[in-house]
Amino acid sequence: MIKFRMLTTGMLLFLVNFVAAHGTEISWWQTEGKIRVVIGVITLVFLGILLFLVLLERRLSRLEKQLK
Amino acid sequence: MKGLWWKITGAVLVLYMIIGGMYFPLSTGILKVEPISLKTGNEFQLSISAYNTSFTQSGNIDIWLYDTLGHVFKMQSPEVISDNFLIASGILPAKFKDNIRTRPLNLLVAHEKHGFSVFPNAVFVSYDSTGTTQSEWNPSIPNHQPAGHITFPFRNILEETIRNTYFHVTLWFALMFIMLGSAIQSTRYLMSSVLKLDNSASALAQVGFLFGILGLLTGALWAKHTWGAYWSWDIKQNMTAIALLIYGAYFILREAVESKPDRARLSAVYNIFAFVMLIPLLYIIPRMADSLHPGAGGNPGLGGEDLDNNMRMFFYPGIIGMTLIGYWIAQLCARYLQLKDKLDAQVFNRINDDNSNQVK
Repeated sequence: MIKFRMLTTGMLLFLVNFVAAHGTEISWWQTEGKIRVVIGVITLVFLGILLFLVLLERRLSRLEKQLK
Repeated sequence: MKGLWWKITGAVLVLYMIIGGMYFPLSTGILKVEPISLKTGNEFQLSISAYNTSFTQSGNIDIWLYDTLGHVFKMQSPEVISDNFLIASGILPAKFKDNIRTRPLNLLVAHEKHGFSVFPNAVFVSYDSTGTTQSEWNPSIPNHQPAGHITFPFRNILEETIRNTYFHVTLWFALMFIMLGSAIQSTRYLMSSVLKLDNSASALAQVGFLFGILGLLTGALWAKHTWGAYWSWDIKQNMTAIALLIYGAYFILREAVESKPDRARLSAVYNIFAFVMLIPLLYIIPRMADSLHPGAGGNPGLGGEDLDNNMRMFFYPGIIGMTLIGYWIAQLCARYLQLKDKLDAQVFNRINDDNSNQVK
């Protein structure tokens, strides 16, 4: 399960970078408002990763306590 | 809160980098000038396409052609067609200052609202012996003030992709710090034989490897825009791929050895070798050959006009943030591996106890 989650984290990190790198092409930015969409998507994906890491940390702490 | 501050710091710094790095606009720039070929002593008209300008609200617009040999020419007041397009005209002087036949001239567009933009080698002027005009070269260009607000540099080849610096470059910096941490943990393992250190080295290498793949992918996307292809067999790309393959072999090696102490010892030695190889592969060999990548073949790396002080405000915190996030992920990975080891040991002990009870 945790390995799967690490894979998902990796995929989400990839998505942040993919969107960021693609979002920088000139045609995206010339239209008013597109920049906000790009920032919004990247920020949301990154916040998703953070939430995911926090939940993973909590689960690991619980498992560590159980094993003690 | 214990041990949490650096994770929060990492998250805040990366968010700061993402929002700041993507939000602030590029400075004004010139995309295209037509025609690119002019003759001395002749009247001409230049169509200038610009980026991020608002010519219709700019007020006074000055347009100059110049070079470093002292050829400076101010064009007549331009006709503004739209916010990003104008037409400028003029009659070039009959002769160059020296007996030169052809000179490339830079174009400078200065406007009250956005400061100024420069287009290097915008036009090529050739000497025309039939051209007759009384106009003279101007003595110099007056100083122009840059834009008063925060902007990132406009580079003709990079355009908006310059923002990829915040992802591609920070990932590679973070990778170096993470791989260094991994090599240190491997060294500590060899000195102490504590399995926890081996787990930590492995986790750091996994995260570093992930960052490497992300760095390679963001680089390929960037290369598509600037170099015209995702993969152009550039020495930097090739050496990076080899470095990642060396780390890929580290994970295969770990899976190939059954005994935990043997696996830890072998992989620790290999991990140190892999880190030592990373430095020549990423930073020495690419500099010994011609490369399209900045930092090699005469291109400045992390300097010049590709990274100004405005970008540095977000770039350096971004490196720290990415590194901290990487360490956080690695810490979670290491804790998972540690739990797995503990569980394995408990299962092993239980089976041993059951067997000895049956023998009794």
